[in-house]
Amino acid sequence: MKSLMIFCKQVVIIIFLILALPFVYEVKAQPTDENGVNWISYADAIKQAEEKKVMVFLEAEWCVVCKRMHKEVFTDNEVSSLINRDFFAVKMDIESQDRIPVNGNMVSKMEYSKSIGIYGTPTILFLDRNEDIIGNFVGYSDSGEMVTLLTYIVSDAYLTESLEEYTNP
Amino acid sequence: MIGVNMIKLSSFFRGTLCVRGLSITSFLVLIVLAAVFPLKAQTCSCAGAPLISSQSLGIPEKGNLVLGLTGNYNNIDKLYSGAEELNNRTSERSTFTSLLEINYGLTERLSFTGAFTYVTKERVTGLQTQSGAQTLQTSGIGDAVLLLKYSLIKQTLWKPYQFVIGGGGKAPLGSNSLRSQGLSLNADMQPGTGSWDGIGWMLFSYTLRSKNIHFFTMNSYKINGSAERFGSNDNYRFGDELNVIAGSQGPAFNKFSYGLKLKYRSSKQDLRNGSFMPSTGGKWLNAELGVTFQLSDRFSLQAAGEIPLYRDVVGTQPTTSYIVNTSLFFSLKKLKSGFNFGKPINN
Repeated sequence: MKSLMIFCKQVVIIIFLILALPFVYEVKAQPTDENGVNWISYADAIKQAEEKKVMVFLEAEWCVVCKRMHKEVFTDNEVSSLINRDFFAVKMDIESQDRIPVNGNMVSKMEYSKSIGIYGTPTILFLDRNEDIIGNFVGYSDSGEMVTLLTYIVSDAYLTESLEEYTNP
Repeated sequence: MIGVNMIKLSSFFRGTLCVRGLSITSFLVLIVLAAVFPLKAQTCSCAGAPLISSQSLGIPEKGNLVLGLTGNYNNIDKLYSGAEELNNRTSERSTFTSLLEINYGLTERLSFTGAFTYVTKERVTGLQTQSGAQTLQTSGIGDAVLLLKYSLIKQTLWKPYQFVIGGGGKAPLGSNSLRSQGLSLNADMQPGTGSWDGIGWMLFSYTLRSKNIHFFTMNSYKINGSAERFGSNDNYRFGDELNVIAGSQGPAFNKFSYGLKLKYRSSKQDLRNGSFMPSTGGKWLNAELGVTFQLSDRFSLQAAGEIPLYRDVVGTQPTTSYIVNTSLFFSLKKLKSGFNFGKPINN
């Protein structure tokens, strides 16, 4: 009987730990201050794509890393200046049913995200003036890495070399 | 780990980690040390080689090869009668298992898993006696598990859960007829069982996406065949075995993640020449805490410790006091983070 009590106590403690541990990890990213980047709609960005390249930030409501990038990266002066000067910036919720014009067809943001094969968030897409996808960047990047990435795209260096070659000439 | 989740985990960790000093070389040294570590131990009904419970979560994507090299030490120095511990034990055991696990994605939903072992068992007898302790050690290639896994529900960014089923068998690669000084050794001192066994396996997992935590349950049932030992007049059949595992896995800090498991195992009594073997079979409930460190895009290192919470053995048996293991995982395909040309789907 005594061993059964000890056993029950241990099971309760372990179950408690299993359930509680997820909440020990605090999500530090908070709703962001987006004063830095001028986000516009996808439709508006595509209309003006002749002038600048388009940067699409694909995110999700539950994506902690996305929130962290809003807070830590897109508020960085150098990053936001570079984006505002050289890109049309679009935020896109990959689960949204809002419809956008893609190559002449109206599709939901979720359908668009699925059609291009997104497998992780955040994903940053770079589009050229023809609405073709130049490339994609998956995962978190800090301000320094973001500046390098933006410069790589805007300078058209991607036409002749990889990002690794560009970063380490 | 599971495709999408792994991406998200690695994404979370990108740019946040500083612990790059632990090189792959250091890790390999650790593995080698583990491999040559003085092998103690043994098992009884307590299953020496962790063939089933070691199965990793999820299935690799198509064309990807994931290798795992594990060193598992099982210290069996408690003596139990039913659920009560006895203090008059005269023997102790330990098992050290080196395990190579191979996972390969055949299609987007179907994968192959193979687990191959090298087992060393040790038994010390004569404890607390005037005659003194005597040590017996056996070692050799152990049995292997071959499984096909099929993902009935595949996890995606939009579907935070998966359901995978699997089936296969255990191949008797290990010897089951070792002798010592001319004497036939017990079945529990043999590296292999000699029998072909059937295995059913399933995994269900759910991802709490806002915190990148995976909750899972992984269960298996093994129906054992019988084998002739030492010629043909000694037929032995290990008891069928049920394994139920529930746990969670998630990010801790930097490139570290944690894993917590509750592991239940139930084994029926062994049969020898059609009669139940005394002091075999029972029920065990263990808790395991593990830590994983992402060494690079392809390599990760895992260490885990396991302790019993409850056991109820049939008759009187030596049983586990703790288990420790270390694993190195290698993925042929790099984590898909960073910049790639074109659509994500093309990469």
